[in-house]
Amino acid sequence: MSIAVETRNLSKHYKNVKALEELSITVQQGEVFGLIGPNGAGKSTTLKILTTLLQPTSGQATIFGIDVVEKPEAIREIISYLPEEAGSYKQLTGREYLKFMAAFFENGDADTKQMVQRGVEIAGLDERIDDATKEYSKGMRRRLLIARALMTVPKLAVMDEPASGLDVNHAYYVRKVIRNFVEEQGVTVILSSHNMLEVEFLCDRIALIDDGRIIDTGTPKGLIERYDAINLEEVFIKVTRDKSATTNGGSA
Amino acid sequence: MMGGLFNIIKKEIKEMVRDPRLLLGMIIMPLLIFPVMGATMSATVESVEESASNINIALINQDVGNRSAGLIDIFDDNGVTIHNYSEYQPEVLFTQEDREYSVIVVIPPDFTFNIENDSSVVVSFYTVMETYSISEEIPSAVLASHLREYKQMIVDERLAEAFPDKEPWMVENPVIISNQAVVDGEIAENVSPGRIAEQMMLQSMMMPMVMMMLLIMASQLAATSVAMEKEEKTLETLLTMPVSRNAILFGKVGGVVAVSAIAVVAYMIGLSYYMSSVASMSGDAGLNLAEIGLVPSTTGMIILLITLFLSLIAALSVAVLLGSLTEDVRSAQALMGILYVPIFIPAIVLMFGDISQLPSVIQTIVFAIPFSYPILASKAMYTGLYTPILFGIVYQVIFTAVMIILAGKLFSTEKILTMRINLKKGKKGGAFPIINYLANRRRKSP
Repeated sequence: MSIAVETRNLSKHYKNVKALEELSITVQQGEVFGLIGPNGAGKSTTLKILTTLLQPTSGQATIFGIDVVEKPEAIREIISYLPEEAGSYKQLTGREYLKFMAAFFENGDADTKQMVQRGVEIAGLDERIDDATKEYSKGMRRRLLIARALMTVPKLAVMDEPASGLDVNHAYYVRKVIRNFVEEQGVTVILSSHNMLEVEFLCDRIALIDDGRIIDTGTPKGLIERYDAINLEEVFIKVTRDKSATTNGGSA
Repeated sequence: MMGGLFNIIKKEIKEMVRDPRLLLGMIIMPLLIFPVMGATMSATVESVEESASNINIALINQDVGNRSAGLIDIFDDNGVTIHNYSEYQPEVLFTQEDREYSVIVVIPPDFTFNIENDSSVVVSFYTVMETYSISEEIPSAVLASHLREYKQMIVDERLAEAFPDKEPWMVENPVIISNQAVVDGEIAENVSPGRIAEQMMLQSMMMPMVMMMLLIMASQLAATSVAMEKEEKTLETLLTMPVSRNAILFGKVGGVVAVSAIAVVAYMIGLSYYMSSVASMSGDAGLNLAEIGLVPSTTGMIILLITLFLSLIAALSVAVLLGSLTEDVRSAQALMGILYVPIFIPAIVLMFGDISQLPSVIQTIVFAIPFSYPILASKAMYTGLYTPILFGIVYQVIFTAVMIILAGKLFSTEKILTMRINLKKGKKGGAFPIINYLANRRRKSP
């Protein structure tokens, strides 16, 4: 199994903020890897660096051996990114939206059609796929966006809070689609989430991240055992509380 | 690159033409509003003409002689309906209800005496005003013109008596002016310089108006299109697609150019209908400039199109740049006010005047604005003075290239996502106090 994603001492500093501090992770091909952490921990920044939207201040990130800073165009050919608060073009129908996105992957009309068909199936919106997306509910739009992210069968799918803000039905659908797709297509996924249930269901391995640093990594089961917790939520609380206590103690 | 570019252009056009606000504002409104304006003005003029052709007067003829009969005949011959109220005092008629007349005409008792004794006499018109509109003023103006006819008759009569062996009009007009325009070395037959200037001004007003509309609409669209990507959270996804950032930039500009072209055609159709309505109302058949040799040259038209295209691209580049700096559509639209200033200045300054007659400071400002050149080129089409326009084209190319490079740079870095106009930082308004003020004001408004 080859390495899909590797970051080495990845840092991102804004004027007065250290969003990411020497973050190093390795994600294996075919793995679903989760970045777990509180708000402002650096999860989205990491994902944006991996998807070439942001440039690291220092450190290195590679996807299937390609450097994200040196060859961003090559990276965009093999990845797919689902931002946390992504929207769709309101005046386009769901199908037109998928077609528009598929057309960027120049593999001929037949391939584009196949991609769109796959997207339509993943979205599962039935005849509503031909409605303008402005008519969609939040859940429907998110399903369309998930479909867009997966229909190209990317080598790496990067998903920021894939089921955030969705009701139980839509969230369940989204998680199931991702899990099934990964199993069927062998796509590597790196995602961020606040939802521990989602993380346990989807992720093979996770990294706990806070203040731009990795606190711990492991499988959900392994982390639960290591922290003597009943679930990942408790692990998360223990880790952040311990860190907070250390910080307060240190500064006292 | 080309596949991605056309994909984006296609998407932009679809989005824009499907937006009902846009369709209504940019295409349907101009097609409706100008003809409606023209029709309204035509209707107004028709009602004025009707009131001019259908005049009813209350005549109080106090003349003790018979010379007033000539004046009454003139009124009669011109279709004025006369209601005889000679036994009344005018004040009584001022307050009369259900009047069948619009003007009270009083011919004084000494009318014949004064006319026959080479003296002056006052004929009074009383218009009882109720709506204070132009249509109330028309009857008295028409009656005055009939009175002038009578007056001329009396003048001719008096001159014939004083100079029996002369033509009265010669005595009256010792010097006659022949005012003719020379165009390209040829006398324009029976056309005064004033008429040519008037016609040219009508035409030269068209260009600034069309240009203003085009640039404002197109730049609004471009800025909105970029800001919309941010507001609707679609930009991040688009930027991770395997398409060059320049293709995204040019795709947006290309989409706007295509939709603007449709909008301009709509404006031109609407505006030309309006202008033809206005021209037909003036009662002037219109001076055909081509007949007197004032024909725009092909070179001039090509130069005009080049300057117009460059202005459009320059404006769109600035608009995309400004739109990229904001995070929502409202802020982008507020910011566009900055771009309107240089669009309005040359349009307004050059609409009524000539560049050569402006003070040197204003001239410099006009030449420094890249959007001035289509207006200057529209005039140069007739004058053939292309040199400043050709320099202008070079300047426009440089300006546009700089703007495109700046916009391209912004699109190719993470600044497109992270850069914001400093809305709150600093008590003095940050780096862009006016922009911040505008953007904040728009944001705060309900």
